[in-house]
Amino acid sequence: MIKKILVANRGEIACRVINTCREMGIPTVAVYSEADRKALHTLRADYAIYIGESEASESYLNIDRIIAAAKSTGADAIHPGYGFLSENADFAQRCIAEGLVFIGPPANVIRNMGDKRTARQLMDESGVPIIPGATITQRDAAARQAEEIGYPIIVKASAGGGGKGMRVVNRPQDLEDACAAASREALKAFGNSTIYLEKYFSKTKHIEFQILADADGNVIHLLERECSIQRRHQKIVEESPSSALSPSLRRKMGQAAVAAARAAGYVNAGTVEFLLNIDKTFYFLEINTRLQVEHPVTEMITGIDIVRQQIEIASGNSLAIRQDQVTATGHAIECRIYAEDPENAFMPSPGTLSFIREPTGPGIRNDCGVYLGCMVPMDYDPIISKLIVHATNRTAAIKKMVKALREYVILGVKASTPFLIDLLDSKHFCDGEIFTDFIEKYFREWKPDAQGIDEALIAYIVDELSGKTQSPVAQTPGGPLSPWETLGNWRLG
Amino acid sequence: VEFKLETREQSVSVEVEKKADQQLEVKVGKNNYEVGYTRISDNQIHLSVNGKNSMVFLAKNQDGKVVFINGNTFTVADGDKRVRNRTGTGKSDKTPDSVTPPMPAVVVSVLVQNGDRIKKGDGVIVVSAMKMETTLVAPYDGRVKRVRVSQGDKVKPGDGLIDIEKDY
Repeated sequence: MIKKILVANRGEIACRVINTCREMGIPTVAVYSEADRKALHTLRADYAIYIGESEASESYLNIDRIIAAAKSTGADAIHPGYGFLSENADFAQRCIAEGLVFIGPPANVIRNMGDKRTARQLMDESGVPIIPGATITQRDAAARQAEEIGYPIIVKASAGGGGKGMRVVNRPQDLEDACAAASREALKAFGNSTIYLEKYFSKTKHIEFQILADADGNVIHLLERECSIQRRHQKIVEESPSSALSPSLRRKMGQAAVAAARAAGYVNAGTVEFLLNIDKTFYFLEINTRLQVEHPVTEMITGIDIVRQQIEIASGNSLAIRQDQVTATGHAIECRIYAEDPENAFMPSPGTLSFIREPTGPGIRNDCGVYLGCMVPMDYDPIISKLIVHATNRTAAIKKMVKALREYVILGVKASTPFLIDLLDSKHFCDGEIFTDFIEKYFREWKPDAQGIDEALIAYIVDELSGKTQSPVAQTPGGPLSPWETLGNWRLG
Repeated sequence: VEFKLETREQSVSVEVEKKADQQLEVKVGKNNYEVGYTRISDNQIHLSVNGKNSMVFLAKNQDGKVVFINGNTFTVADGDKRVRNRTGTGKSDKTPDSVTPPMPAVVVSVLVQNGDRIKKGDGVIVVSAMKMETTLVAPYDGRVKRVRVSQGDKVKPGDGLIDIEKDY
C-alpha cells in the first residue's frame, strides 16, 4: 500500500486529492511555486516543498524538481491531478524509473492517447467511430486539407486538452492565423506545437464516460457526464445523467467507452469523450488519461470516490466494484467558478480575494482552492472552485444550484457566478436544449440584471454610516475616517 | 443628507434621513424605503428594506465598493469623489493614446513597429494571462508612435504598451 503521496498540482484539485488521502490516512506532500507560497494547497498538505518560480516550466511542469521533492520527503507515490504533468508520458515513466508509483495510467497509454492522431488510429482499428480529420505536416498543406474536410473546421493541439490550443475556422483566409495561434498556445501549454484539423460540428453535445480499469484487465464505466456548456471550448457546466441519452443509447455508448479503454490497454481512472450529434450518432473525441475536472458529478450520483479508486488501483488492488453494482441516484450538476469577467468575453480577473463565503446546505459541495485574503495569481488557470449540487432530479438540481450560486459571495476578483445564475435559470438550459455553442448562441451579449440595485446603493450608504468592527486590518493610520470625511459631497436635505 | 452615487454607468441621487438608531428613511431616485440595518462584520450587513430581509456583502475596490446582493454584484462609487480624483492626481487617468491590457499579463508578441500605419481593429500586440492569449487591437486609425514593451514583459492595466498617434 502507498505510504505517502506527493500531489504534483495546485489549487482546488490539489486540495481535493489531499482530502481523500487524509480520509485514507495517507500523509500528503504539496509542491508550490513562488506565486503559491500562501496558496491553500500549500497550507493544507501535511508537508509542502518549494519547487521554483511562478512560471509553470520552472515549477509545476518541472519534472526534476518534483521528483526531487518526492525523494526528499520520502513520498512513494505521485498524484498528478489534472493539467500540468498529468498527461505527460515522460513524467509517468520517470516516476516508475525512480521507484515511485504514478497514480494514473501506464506511460505508453498516456503517450498513445496523448497523441490524438495515434488515439484516432487505435480507435478506428477497434471499431470506435472517429471524426473526419487530418494532421498538419506542413504549413502549406493545411489549406488543402481543410478544403478536403470542408469548412468549418477546428484546429486542435495534438497534445491538447482543456480547450488550450483550439481554434474554430470558418473561412479559408483565417486558417493560417488560427494555426499559428493554436500552435503557439499548444507549445506553451503542452510543450508540443503539433496541431491537426478536424471537421467542426456546430450543434453537438459533449458526452463523456468515466472509466475505471485495474491491472487485472477489469474495466467498468461509471456512467456519463454531459459537458456541453462551454466557453472558449472549455467546459463550465457539467451534469450527470445527460438528458440526451435514452437507456439504450447509454448502454451502447457505455460499451463503446469500455471497448475504447480496452483498445488503449487502459489502467486506472480515465474518461472517454464522445461528440454526440443531434441525430444521436456519436464519435470518439479522445481519452483523457487523468482525473477530470468534472469528476465530482459522477461521485455525487454513484457514491464512488474516484480519487480513492485511483489510489487503490495504483496500489495494485483489483476493482472492488463490478459493472452491475454501479448505480446512479438523482441528478448532479457542477459549475466551474472562475475568476473572470463574464461581461467582458470571460477575460481572466486575477487579484486578491477580499471576501469569500462558500454556500452550504444539503446536497451542496464546493471543491475550493482559495481562501479569504489569498491571491488568485495571473500565472495559472483562473479556477476558484467547483460548485457541485446533488438532488433527486434535474429540475431540483438546477434550483439547488441557482440557490447555491446566489449565496456564493466572491469579492475582490470578478467571478462568473452572476452569469451562471442566468444560464441555469434560462428556459433553454432547463429544457435541456444544450449544445456546445450554447453560450455563443443565447448569451453572447449577456449583461448582469439590475435586480437589487436600490438595495446595493442603500448598502453602500449604510456601510459608510455604520461603524466598522475593531478589526486590526480595517484600521488606517491616524484613526478611522468618519463618513463625513470619506464621502465626497453631501448637502443637508 | 443627499449623496450622488454611480453604478452600472448611471448616476443616482440618494437621500438619507436618520429616523432612529439603525433606522433610516432612504429615497433612491423616486423610490422611498424604510431601512433597518445591522452590521454583522466589516464585510457583511443585514438590511431590512420595507420589511424585506437581505444579507449584503461589501468590499473596497479601486473604483469604490463592490456590493454583493443575492448573487448580483454592483460596483458602487461616490460620484462627487470620483470627479475629484479624476481632476486630482491624474493617476487614475486613462491613457487614451495608448493600448493597455485588460488584465495583468505577459507580452507574447508585438505585432507592429514604430512608425507603422494602422487601422482601427488591427491587432497590435498579443498578451497572455492565465494561459489564454488575447490580441489587443488599435482603438482608431493612426500611426504607431512608440512601442514601449517587448516580448516577455509583465504588464498590467493602465500601462501604456503601444502609443498610437491618432489620425484626424
